[in-house]
Amino acid sequence: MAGTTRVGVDVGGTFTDVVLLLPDDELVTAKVPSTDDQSVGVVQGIEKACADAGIDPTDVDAFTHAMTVSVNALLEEDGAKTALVTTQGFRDVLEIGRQARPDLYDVDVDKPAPLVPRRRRFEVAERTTVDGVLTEPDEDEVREVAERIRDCDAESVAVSLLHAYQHPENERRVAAVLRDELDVPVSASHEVLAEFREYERTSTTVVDAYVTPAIDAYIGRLEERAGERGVPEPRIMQANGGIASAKTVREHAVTTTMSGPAAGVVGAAETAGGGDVDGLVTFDMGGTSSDVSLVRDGEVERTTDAEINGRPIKTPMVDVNTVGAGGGSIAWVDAGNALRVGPRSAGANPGPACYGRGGTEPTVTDANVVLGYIGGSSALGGELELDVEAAHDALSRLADEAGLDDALAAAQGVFRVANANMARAIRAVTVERGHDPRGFGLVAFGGAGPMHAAAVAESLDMDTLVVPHACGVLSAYGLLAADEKHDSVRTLRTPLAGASLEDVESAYDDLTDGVLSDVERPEEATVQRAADLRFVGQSFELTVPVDEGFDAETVAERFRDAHESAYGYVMDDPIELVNLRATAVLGRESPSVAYRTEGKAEKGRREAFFGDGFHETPVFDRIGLGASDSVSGPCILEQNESTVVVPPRWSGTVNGDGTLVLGRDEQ
Amino acid sequence: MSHEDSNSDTDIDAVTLEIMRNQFEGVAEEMGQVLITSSYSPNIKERRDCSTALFDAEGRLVAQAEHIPVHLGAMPEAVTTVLDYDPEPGDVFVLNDPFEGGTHLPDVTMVSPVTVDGEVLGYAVSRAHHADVGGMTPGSMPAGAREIYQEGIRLPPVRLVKGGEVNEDVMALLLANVRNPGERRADIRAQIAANERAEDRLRDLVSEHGRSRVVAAFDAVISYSRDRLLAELSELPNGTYSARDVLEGDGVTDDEIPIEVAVTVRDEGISVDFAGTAPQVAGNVNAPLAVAKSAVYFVIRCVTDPEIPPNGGCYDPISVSVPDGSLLNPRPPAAVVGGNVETSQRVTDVVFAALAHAVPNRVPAGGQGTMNNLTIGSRDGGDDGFTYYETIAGGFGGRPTKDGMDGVQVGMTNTLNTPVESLEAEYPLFVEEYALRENSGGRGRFRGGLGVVRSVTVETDATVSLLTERRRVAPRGIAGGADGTTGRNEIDGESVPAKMTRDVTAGTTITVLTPGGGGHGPAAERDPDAIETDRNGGKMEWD
Repeated sequence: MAGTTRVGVDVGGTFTDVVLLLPDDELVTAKVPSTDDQSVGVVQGIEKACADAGIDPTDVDAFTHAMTVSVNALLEEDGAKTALVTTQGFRDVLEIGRQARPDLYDVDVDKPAPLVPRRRRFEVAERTTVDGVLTEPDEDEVREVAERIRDCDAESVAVSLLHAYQHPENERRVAAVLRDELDVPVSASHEVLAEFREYERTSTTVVDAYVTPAIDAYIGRLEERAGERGVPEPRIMQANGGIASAKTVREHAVTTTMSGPAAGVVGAAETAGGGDVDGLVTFDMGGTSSDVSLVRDGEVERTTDAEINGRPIKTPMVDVNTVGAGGGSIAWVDAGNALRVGPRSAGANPGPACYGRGGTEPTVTDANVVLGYIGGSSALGGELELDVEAAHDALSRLADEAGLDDALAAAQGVFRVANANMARAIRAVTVERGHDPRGFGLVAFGGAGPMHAAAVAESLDMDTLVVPHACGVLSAYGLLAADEKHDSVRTLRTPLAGASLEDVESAYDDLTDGVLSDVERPEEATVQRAADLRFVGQSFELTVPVDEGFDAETVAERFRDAHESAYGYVMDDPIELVNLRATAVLGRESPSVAYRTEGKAEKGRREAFFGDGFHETPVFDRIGLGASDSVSGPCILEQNESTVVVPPRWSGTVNGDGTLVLGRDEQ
Repeated sequence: MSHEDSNSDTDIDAVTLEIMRNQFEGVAEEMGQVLITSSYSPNIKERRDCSTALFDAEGRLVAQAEHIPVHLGAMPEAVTTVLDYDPEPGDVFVLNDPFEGGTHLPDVTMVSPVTVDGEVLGYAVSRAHHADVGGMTPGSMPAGAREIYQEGIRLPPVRLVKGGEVNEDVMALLLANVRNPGERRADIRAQIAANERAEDRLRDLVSEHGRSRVVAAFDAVISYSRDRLLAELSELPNGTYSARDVLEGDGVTDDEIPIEVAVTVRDEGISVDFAGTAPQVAGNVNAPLAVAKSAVYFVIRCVTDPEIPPNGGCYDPISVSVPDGSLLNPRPPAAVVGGNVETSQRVTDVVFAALAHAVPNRVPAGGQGTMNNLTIGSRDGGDDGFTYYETIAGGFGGRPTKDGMDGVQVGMTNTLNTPVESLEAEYPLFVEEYALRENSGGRGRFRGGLGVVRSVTVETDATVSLLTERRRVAPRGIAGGADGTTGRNEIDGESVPAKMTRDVTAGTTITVLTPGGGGHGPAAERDPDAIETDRNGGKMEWD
């Protein structure tokens, strides 16, 4: 798409990040404070980036967007007043869930309150079984339920009837009557997630209904505001790692949760490229937490087992593993005299001691100051005067408490413990899932990621480190790179050997029609088929790709291979087909970024701690490094939003797009 | 990466302690992951009814990844027992004997000495609930067993692997005694693989830190947990606190079976004495000593900081004494399969009740106190036979600052339910209702959680077994709160006994109404808004 102007806008908790790609491939970035009505900050950000680039917002040809409207509604529990309609005898399924309590030993713990309280959960005397409809709904009864829903001022409705994933007739009729009678959006489970297991499907459908009014209103406001400035209609990042039109997202609001983190992982995968690695571990270390995820064969790993605040959402999502430790995490000594980091955070206010805003507790950032990784005038984006003494004092107090020699020993300790937490999270997504991280590259971003990445990589014996140029605004960058993507699933439970080719193909055809109808230019899209299978008697499934022209033997072989690789063995038992899946993908041309250097690279030197002591370490302005410039450790690269620490034995070069790729020398 | 700094190899500072504690826990967790992903039994794979642990060379627990509480105290028992058999490098012991380091027969434990540079550095242990270990009925949870021989194959600690080679004679003997030997072989292989993973990881740690430092860190993490537990215990008021409760029968008679406990709290530790508890019984609710220990550890973990890492250090200050030949320390050949699932719940209740006198602000009222074990199977085994087994949620006790949770697993279990849409696809069963049981929570300032109603119709002739409790003696309210509502079992609307096995014909409906939790504090002090919410949702009527 050379010759066009594209903008990506990612709304975070504190800042709204903007990445603008100009027709000459120049990349312009901007940050503005996020606003309560996120659309205000979004348009301000676009205006700022355009002003910096010297263009008018009307010059923007494409606008892609990630926001936190739906995930905030879920986390803060201020979504719509939703009603739920279920099969008679099952309105409490949403509340009982899978009957487990969230913690084995904490007697004060609570299950997350159901998003729909019991007084707004209604039943209809109907029943479907695995074989089809047993009792049809009485439409008069449904109309009475509609009346009661109206009486409780519900703002949206979820309908989830037993076995509707396979036999949606009753649910369709109930939803039709409710849509007829009511003026609020109605989410039907077979449309949201046609997959068996009533609790998970109901939960996903309720989440959809719960966030629909907010998403609908938000996108309406954003279109209006953007339209006033001549910016085109937004396309929205979904949790599945693909983008969708505003219209599609309004109809499938549940897909917008986790839109920002998904964009970050897509951005990381994109800038790191293929390279000479088995895969990538993405490592996004922010202020209060860090996100880790996996990219294999160029594909971002996705999960259909996600939960937000303990509530299952079974639509596909980029698989992100979050650790409660980041730059602002507070270090402390526990009752057993171990030095701990997090989960408490100093936040932005007062922030770490070194911010000089009254914070006195030692944080990871303060440790980085004492170690010399953060320092000088450009520290902290140049917006804050660094209070080195306060950082030192905070760590001295920690040293006293922990019985360590001095502030330096405490700082080293905090740095190592934080890294050990990160390494454990990375082991969880690699080793514990059967992947050897030693063959993977580590992509570091977020404010603190590139500072810790080399040390984390060393502890996992990883040899390749990638730091994208846009590492402070990578989610926004990912928005420019993401493909359009739509998923659909349908349960079809049948022995694989005896599966009717006709049933399978016709189900795939329906799924294909469904996902293509959401694509903006269906004629250019490709559709990927997949199936979930298991050995008879198991109750967990594995997903394998399926070719057009369903061949049971090929599918069986793929399943056995997948089982062998996931679990280490296969059995002779018969195989059962469980779910069919289709994903429509409309690929977008990757942005080719023309990286331009500015100014002089070397800024000076300072003492930084590596291995056994302080070393005089060169400090570079990252933007001053040109393409194919090489760096070798020890050195420190500073840029606006983050700092890259290159320890001894690490070296590498800057790519054409500004990405820094580092390798570890043989010892 | 080798570690360079060292004033002394054995000096473990606050930083090293935290890093190595994390690494040891990582080893146990990674073992668990290997076990869960490579096992076959649904009990292991989906319900995570398994545990993995790392012990030091003296047999002290260093780190444990346990997924259900009943394994808490049981793993150390297994290792202590194996140590008597002189384990050598290259051995892997297998055991399940409840009278020698086990709990009940389906829980199979494997213990491997971990050898680094030719010397035993510690022990890797994995325990998993196998789908079947033989005995009278498929699934090896026979309700009618009167002696252990009926419950399945019994394995005292034996070397399944010797000198690195699987002893095929032992394997053949084991597999000849179970249904689905292929699956058992897969599960056993998964347990061995988990133990091997520990060896790999420990070898890495030795090359990173050096052997003497790893051994010193074993000591340090054990002291660490002990220090944290003692810090918590010092906040409990010293004294001896007693409680008594009963089981409602052993399946043979309905006679009440008392369990008595005296818990003595001192700054330096807690001793728990079950003197006064009934002698062992004819039915299958006897519980081996490890079960009582697990229940005690569970409760102490609940009333102290639940984040203290479980290892030998936090067990050191706790002593448990149980009369020989009693319900909680039976002699062979007592049947024990119900001890794990029902008696363990009552031990939990009674220890909580005793500690409520010491720390009323940390103890909830009685929860449902049962697992509501429901088994439905085809009458004649055969190839088309089926066995459906499930435990059912109930009410959590009202708490000092909030209501008890509605419809959750309580106490020593936390297994998931079977989705209605799976159950109806896989078994000839039809679910009539799955709902919260209205008005079942004990009234109180903070009410007990509601029980549930689970109602299932069989579509073929079948045999139904129920192993349940709290059908006559209600979950207790505390601090002036009312008791919860007792549970009830019905067949076609007629009340049936708490523990029974019965043949039924197609079309019969079995309904289990599980107990509600007890209330906390006087009902008169309940917040009117909370009453209104209960009323609006139809959960509880208040008058």
